[in-house]
Formats: sequence, C-alpha cells, structure tokens
Amino acid sequence: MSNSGLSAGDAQLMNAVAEAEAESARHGQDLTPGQWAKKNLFDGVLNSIFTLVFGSIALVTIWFGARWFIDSDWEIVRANLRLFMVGQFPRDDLFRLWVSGYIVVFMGGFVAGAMAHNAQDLADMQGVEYERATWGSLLRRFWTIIAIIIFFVSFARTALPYIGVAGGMVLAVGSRELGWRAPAAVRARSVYIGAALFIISMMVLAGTSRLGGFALGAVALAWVASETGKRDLPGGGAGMVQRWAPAILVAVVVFVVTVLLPYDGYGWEDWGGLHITLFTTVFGIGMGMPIGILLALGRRSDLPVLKTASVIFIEFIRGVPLISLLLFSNLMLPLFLPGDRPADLTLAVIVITGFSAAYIAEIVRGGLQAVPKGQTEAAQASGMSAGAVQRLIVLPQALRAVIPAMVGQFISLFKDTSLLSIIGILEFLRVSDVANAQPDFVGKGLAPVTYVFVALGYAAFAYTLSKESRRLETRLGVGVR
Amino acid sequence: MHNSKLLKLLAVLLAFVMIAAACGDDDDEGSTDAETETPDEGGSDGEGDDDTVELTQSGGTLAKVQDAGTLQCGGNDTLPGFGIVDADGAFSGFDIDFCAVVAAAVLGDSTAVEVTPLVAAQRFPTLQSGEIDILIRNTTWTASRDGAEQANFLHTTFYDGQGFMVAADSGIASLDDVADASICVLTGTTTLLNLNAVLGDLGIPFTAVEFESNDELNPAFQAGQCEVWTSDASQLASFAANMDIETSILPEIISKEPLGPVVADGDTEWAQVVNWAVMATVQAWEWGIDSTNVDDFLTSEDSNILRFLGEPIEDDDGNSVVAEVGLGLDPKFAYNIISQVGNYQEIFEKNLGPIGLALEGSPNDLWTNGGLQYVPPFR
Repeated sequence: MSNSGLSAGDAQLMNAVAEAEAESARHGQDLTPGQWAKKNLFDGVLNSIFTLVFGSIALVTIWFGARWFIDSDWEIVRANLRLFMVGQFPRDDLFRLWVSGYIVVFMGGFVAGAMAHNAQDLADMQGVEYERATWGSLLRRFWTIIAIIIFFVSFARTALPYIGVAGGMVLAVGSRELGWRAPAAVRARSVYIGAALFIISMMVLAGTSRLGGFALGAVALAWVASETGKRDLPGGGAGMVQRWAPAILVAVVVFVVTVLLPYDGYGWEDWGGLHITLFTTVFGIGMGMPIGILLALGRRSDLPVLKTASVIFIEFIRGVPLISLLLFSNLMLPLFLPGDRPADLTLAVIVITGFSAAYIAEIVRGGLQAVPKGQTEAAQASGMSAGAVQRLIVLPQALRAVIPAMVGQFISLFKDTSLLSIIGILEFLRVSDVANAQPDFVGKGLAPVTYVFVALGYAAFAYTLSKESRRLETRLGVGVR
Repeated sequence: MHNSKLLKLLAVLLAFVMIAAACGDDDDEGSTDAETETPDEGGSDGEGDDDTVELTQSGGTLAKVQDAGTLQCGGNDTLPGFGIVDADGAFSGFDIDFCAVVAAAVLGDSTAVEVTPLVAAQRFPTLQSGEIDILIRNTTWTASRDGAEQANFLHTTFYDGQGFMVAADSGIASLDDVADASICVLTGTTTLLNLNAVLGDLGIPFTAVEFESNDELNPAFQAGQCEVWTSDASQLASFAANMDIETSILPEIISKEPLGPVVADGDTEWAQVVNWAVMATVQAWEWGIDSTNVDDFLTSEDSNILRFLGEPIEDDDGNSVVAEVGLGLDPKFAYNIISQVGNYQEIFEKNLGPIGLALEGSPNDLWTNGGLQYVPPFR
C-alpha cells in the first residue's frame, strides 16, 4: 500500500550493489527459451527426471487448486468482505477508515519519496552512483501487495471500494512524487512530518483525544530539539524562520486538530478484521523496537539493577508461550493496573509489545556482540561520549547485521497476532469462524474457502515484508563484506 | 561479596513490590463497590465468605449499570442461532436478545448493550472480574460451576440436550427404531460417553462411527455413511438448516443441558433483577402478550396483567396506584421488555426458528403445553 521508508542508504556500498546487479544481468542472457530449458531443466539424466517428477506434481497441484478455486462458493467472502477487512467497525462511519487510510498512504508515499531523494543527494555528494527507483522497480517491489488488494477488492459488491482503492494507488504514486520534489528543507524533516501525519490519521479514526494531542506535541518537541541541535553544525545554520516555521506549523496543527475540531471517534476496541491485524503488528514492531534495543543495551550494561531487570524481563517473556501471556493480559493484568479496566485490546497490545521487545532484544544483543570491541575502543579514544559511542558507532553496525533475524521476528509477530482470537478479539483469522457461524453459511463446509482467503492475505503481506528485507540487506551490504 | 550484592538487590526489589502493593490497595479503596466484588484470590473458602458478607450489603451492579447507561454482556459470536455477528458487524441471536431483555428492564433501552464476545475458557474469569455484568453464552448450569466458579445461574432460557438426527426418509421415528443402526458421533466427547451409557442401558445395539470434527462428520452423514447423527439438539438443528437432504430430529433427548443467564456470586439484588427480567418474557407469553399487541393489554380488565405491565390498579381503598414490586426497577420494566424485544416465543422463533428448532412440543414449551418453561407469579 505504501512505501516503507527504507530508501535511505549507506551510499558507500551502492557501488558494490550496482556492480553486483550488473553482474547478474550479464548472466542468463542471450539464450533462447529452448536453450535455457536445456541448460537448466534437462541438463543430464538426473536433472531431467527431477524436472519431470516435480513438474508433473506442480502441474497436478495447480490444476486441482485452480479447479477448487473456481468451483468453490465464494459468496461467504463476498457477503462478509467488510467483516474481513474492518471487523465490527461501525458501518455508518466507514469514511473515517478511508480518510485515515489515505493519510497513511500519503504519509508513506511522501516520506519514501523524500528519503529516496535524500539518499540520492547523499550519493551525489559522496560521488557514488545511485539507482533511482523507476515505476517498473516499484511495481516489482510491491506487486504482491497490489495483487492482494485487487484480490480483496474483487469480492466487493459495490463500486465504492474499487474507486477508493484506485484513488489510494493514485495517491501513493502522487505523494511519492511530491515527496521527491519537495524542497530540501522539507525533505530533511520528512520523518517528523510523517510522524505528525500518522498521529493525525489515528485521530481521524479514534477521535481527538488528549493522547493524540500529547503525541503530536511530542513530535513537535522532537522537531524543535533536532532543529536546536542542528544550529551548531556546519551547514545547519538555516535562517531563523526556516528553522522554526515547521515546528510552529505543527504546533498550529496540534491546536487546530485537538482544540478547534473536537470530535468523537472509535477507539481500537471497535476495530477489527485485517485492520486490527495490521495495526497490532505495526504497533508491536514500532513500540517493541525501541524497547527491545534498550533492553539489549540494558542486558549488556554494567549496572546490576538494570542488567538484572532486563534479564528477568527478557527471559520471563521468552520462556512463556504467547497464548499464556495473552490470557495473562486478559485475566490478570487489569489487577495490576490502576483505574478502570482498559479495553481487551489495550491489554493485549501491552503484552504483544513486551513480547516482541523481548525477542528483538535478544536479536539486537546478538548484533551487539558481533561488533568488534575495537570499534568501541576507537570511538572512546576519539573522545566520544558513552551515548554517542552506542548511538553512532555500535548500534548502526549491530542493527545492520541482524536485519534478516529482525524481519523474521516481524513476520512471526504478524502471524502471531492471530492468537488474539483466543481472547475473543475479532482479528483477521477469527472472522473466518464468525462468518461460518452465520445462518446463511453454517454447516455448508465453507471453512476451507474462508481459510484460504485469509491465508492468501497473510502470505501476501509476509512475502512483501521478506522481499523488502532482502532488498534492504542488499542495499546495506549485509553478507557482502 | 557477590552474595551480599544480590541480597541488596533483592531487598530493593522487595521494597518496590511492597510499595506497588500498597499503591494497589489505595486504588481499590477508592473504587466503586462493584469493583471490590472482584474475588482477587480464587483460593480459600474462608476469604470468599468474608467477601460475600461485605458485598451483599450494597450489591452495586444494578447501580453501576444504571450509572454507566450500558449493560456489559458476555456472549458468543460463533454459535448459530444463539450468538453470531452478521455481515454488518452487529450481534444477533437468542442469547444476545436476552442481553437486550435485561437492558430494556434495567435501562429502559434494549439497545443499550455492549456485547463482549468470549471464548469458553474466558467466560467465568471475565464474569468474576466484573468486566461483564451478565454472562449469556450457552453455558450449562452445573453444580460445580455454580459452586467453584463463583457463578450464579438464573432462569434457564433454553433446555438443550443430546438428541438424534436422521434423514427424513430413513424410517426412524424414535429411539427404539435406532436398533442396529450406525450412529455418527464426535470422538472423545461426553456425547459419545452418554450415547454408550444410555443406549447400553436401554439394550439397543448400535455401531458408533467416530469423527474428529463436525466438518468431517457433516458430509459423511449427508452421504449416508451413518443413519443417525447424535449431538446437542441445538447444534444438530443448526447444521440441518443448510443440508442438501431433508432431516428430522427424534423427540428423545438423553442428557440435560440447561442454558441460561449467569451473574457473579454475591450480588443478590442484581441476580433478582436479571432473573425477573428474563422470566417476564415467559410470563408475557403465557398471557399471550407480545410486541405487536402489548399496547392493547394496557387497558386489560385483568389486574394481574395491569400490575405486570406497570399500569395503575385500584388498591383496597379504591385508590389508583402503581404496584411496586421492590426490585429496584421501573414499574414498567416488563412493558419495556415486551414492547422493545418481545416475549419468549417471539425471541425463540426469531432466532432459533431459522436454524430449524421447533418450540412446540420441545422442553422449551410452556408448562401449560407440557414444556418446562414455568415462572413464578408476577404479583
């Protein structure tokens, strides 16, 4: 749906990447299909047997799969498409979902475009080559997501979802272009703009709560802090107006959105379906990442209290099945929390965040151990503070080394959100059970149909995540050196 | 040296725990009565008794619900006929309608219900935690649940039980005809144990064909691999609704599965309110009052009906007064229930009719028709 801002790259490695790609392009060309088949499929007796056996197995599977696909009664999915996508979100206010979705798409496109341009500028400055993304390359990267969205929409009975999705795709393309063409001063601050847009999209959905206002305020503060930090850097001395205007803009937006336009929305206890699955995943990763990194640093720390607390947390969470943690969140966590009982999903999200943080912490610790001690010593010798050593020298190397494991954890978390069903939350997978209990469909044996529908959804998103991670690995040169 | 460090650390941690515990206590004191009902320790009986004594004084759930303006109801979202979510995301079903009945009685608005779908393992802990005010989720009333789960079972809304389904053209009309038939049943269930015990006692020979899940059993039954399918009658009916073959359910029911609303132990006032709200639907049915004609009964000659509907009646001195039954409810609570939701028969036929369950002649029929639905008089 949207570009995830992964474009900022380590420009020094781009030469190597470009060379590797050119290399791979030189191979496997200048062959007719017949020659290719002979070389790759029927190269010797053993290879020919393998080709025939596995080829016929594949053909039979595809034949029966396609037959099943065509013969099945997909009415249960058509009737319940909204339930699959958004669960029990109030039908009269679905526009909130569309608007907030559009804002997120715009945010993704804009930030990705801006960061890609930033990466090119950096590459130019360092005199390395930068391969600008083309429409073709973007399509190759995101065809799974586009295909699954079209697959989902093909079950719609009205024109609105088609128009809405087409509009979203146009918006994604347009916002990326806008981000690319934005002035350098705006591009440099695109992360803050993106964060503010994301919070605003949440407020469109969930209402202008104090929480949203605080979050926006925090973004504005971080912005101001980073502007203040830039003041002393060479080349960072932009004019007074340029430096403060964006922050003031955000402050005005905060004021307008939270004070002048107060309205109610629907908190996440009313969300459901694929929406809640994606949201819980993004939230679990987004919150779990920083907490996990802190836990990993804490575990390596010399302070005994910090170290022990980190170890206890990590080992406890990792030693307990997620199902029992979710049941714990539902039945016991409220006893420890002050005030009224929070929504079931709030409790579950707390546990899921902690769960992913513990696993991420162990992955990051592995990365930290892979960074040679000489790096730290050299940084210390050059007079860097302890914080700067970690932030600028150790963590960037450690995190880069663990991208594959980290993305594996993200994919695993994405699938683990289906466990929310055991505490009665109507996430993507559970809609299947609910739909099969409806009077029109009960006892018709339609569970395979709905399960296949859901499985395709999970597979498309997980595959895209994994593809993006491999792309990131290539760009950052993981495994090359 | 190392040990003493560890001890210091433990002491610090212990201090934290104690401070946290102290804070927790303060919070509890500040909260409402309804929350202090929460039986934090499900353990010893002695402590449980202390709680109960403290709780029954003020009850609190009724006031809590009326303050909140919505009834928190634990239900099911995957049981055909009893609790489902439709394509528009709305809950419906027999159990869900009884949540609406209680809301109509307590709040005067049958739509002021928030349904929390619960899986089986969650239901009693959730009820005990006070997150839901009432649990109506096809829950069988048993002694151990009434006792150990600190649950309070109220008027049974549906008498379920293990039944037998056959193809309509099978020639089997009662349990006696089942002799030497093959019977489809889920393996490892109490249904199978019941089948062996009851048919064994009756001396009826049969062959059990066991399946792991209903998804496998259903096509096998329709294909004629077995002549009889035994399961809970409500479940058989829900599967029969979408079958390619005509089926019938034998009249014999061989187990007792009374399903009804459940509230947490310790709040008698609330239990009575829920009970009488549910029973009002049966009383209205007995009098022939339903949602379409309830307004006609407002001018009834029968003082019992007038009292039931909260209309003024003449007392001994000839004054016109509205009878107050002392449940803490609006005197017109029964009128609200019947006009907004309907009587028992309407609720049954709206939700369970479409999945093929018949009311007439079943255990759920009125006591005057030979069924089990019998409620004490409303006076």
